[in-house]
Formats: sequence, C-alpha cells, structure tokens
Amino acid sequence: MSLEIINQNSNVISIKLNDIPLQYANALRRVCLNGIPILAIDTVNIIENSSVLADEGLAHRLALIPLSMPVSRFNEPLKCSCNNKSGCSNCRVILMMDSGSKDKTRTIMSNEIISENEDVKPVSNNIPIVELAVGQRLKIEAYARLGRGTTHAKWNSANISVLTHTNRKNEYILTVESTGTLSPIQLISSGINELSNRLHEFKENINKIEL
Amino acid sequence: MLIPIRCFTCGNLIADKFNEYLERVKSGDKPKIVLDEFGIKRYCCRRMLLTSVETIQQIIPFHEAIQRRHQEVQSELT
Repeated sequence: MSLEIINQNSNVISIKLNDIPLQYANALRRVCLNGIPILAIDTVNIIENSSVLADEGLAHRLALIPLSMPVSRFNEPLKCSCNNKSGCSNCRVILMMDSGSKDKTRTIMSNEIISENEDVKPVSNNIPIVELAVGQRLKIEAYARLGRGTTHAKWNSANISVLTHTNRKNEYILTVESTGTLSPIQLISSGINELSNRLHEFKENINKIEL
Repeated sequence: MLIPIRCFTCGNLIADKFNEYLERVKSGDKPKIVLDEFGIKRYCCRRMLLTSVETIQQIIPFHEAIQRRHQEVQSELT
C-alpha cells in the first residue's frame, strides 16, 4: 500500500492510492466527506435581535460559517469528560457578537464575531451576516461544537471528495476539496485516523458478540 | 433575503465573494470572467452568485422610515 500526493494547493488535494482495494478507498472517500468531526456553531443565544432577519434565519446563517480550528484539540460533546450539558473549554468555543448601527444602514460582516479562542474564527472576514438599519441591534452569544456531516451539512468536512479510476488495478485517485476548516492534508490524515478508529471499534464489537 | 453563505449543492463558501462580484459586474466585467478569476469551477456554485437576488434592500427602507418617524416623535416631545 502506498500513497502519493499528485497535486496540492490551499484547498484541494489529489492523492494516488496504490494497492488499496476499492472498498477501502471508497470508505476513505466517504469519511473524508462527512466523517471527520469539525467545529460549527451549534447553539445560539439571541440576547437582542431587532434586524429584519428572524432569529432562526440568523442562527442558520451563523451555523453555516466555516470556522478555522486546530486539529484534535477539542473533544466531541458526548465523549468529553466534563459531563456538562453546556460543555467545558475542551468541547465548545464561545463566540460573541454585539453590533449596532449608529448613523447609516450597514452590513454586518463575519469579522465582528469575537471568539473566545484565537485559533477558532471565521475562515473569511467578508461573509455578510445581516444588514442593519439605524437603531437596529444584534447581540448574540454562540457556542461552536464538534460534529459530523452525517448529523447536519454544516459539519461537512469537505465540499467534494471524488474517487477516480486509473488504468491499473487497485489504483485510484482521491480528490478532496476542503471547506476551509481544515487544510486538505489535515483532512486526509484525520480521515485515515477516523477510518482506523471506526474499524477498531467495529472489531471490538464483533469480539463482544463471539463471547 | 441575503446571499446564501454556502452553495446549496456542494457546501462551498460563496458569500464572501458576492460583494466584490457585484461591484465588478456593475463596473462592466463579464460574470464569466469574474467567476473564473474567483476560482469558482462547478456550475452549482456559479449559479449561486449568478442568480442571487438580495431582497433585504427592499425591506430595510421600511425600518429606516420607522426609525425616522420615531426620532421625529421624540424631538416633538422634548
């Protein structure tokens, strides 16, 4: 088995998988697409929202903003040792926003989101969240948590993940495009870790049945 | 109401490019050229920018008017 990077840039990577059966290559492709836990805003406490957008519309827009994150720094909420419903600093990140408009109508951009952790922030500073007229105000407190794309599309780790056949047997090209949350190379390596964890878990469960 | 943050189909981030896209199209650039320069390859993402209509600008004036009236009432009271 071998793995070779064909080309790579800031958000797309193509790797050649040698001597890997189609089933395993496809499992890796699927894990890269929506199996890697990444951060996304999960709970939004709306303290004040006098904008034209409804609370749930606002929460939905916030949730879809890709957040940059350090790899394997956070625990998944259900697996965290804190056993706390609201979470601890190891399983959630608090993001705050307090925006108003004083003299003219303006667009609130993602750079106005203040994060508790400096590694976790919106990927781009120019994502429009809502437009506020004079006198309107937006004050929110949001919690970003780890999750998987199988639960909600906001946690999808990759935009596209494609497996292409080559002329040789058991040789495939895997192309992964990142959402910006993790770098493409981090996506592949955490995808491989996740896949091996799942296989180990599966094996343990099989052994339990035999006993 | 506003430009969707991500592409409906593939989940690619598009909202951060929309303002620049609008400015450049208004100044006379062809949408095709602008989209190509942003590196938006797939047609699912291209249609997001091409076909988006922002209706928030049609609602905001009512809120501006309410605010103006409110200020007028306030100044009359004092």
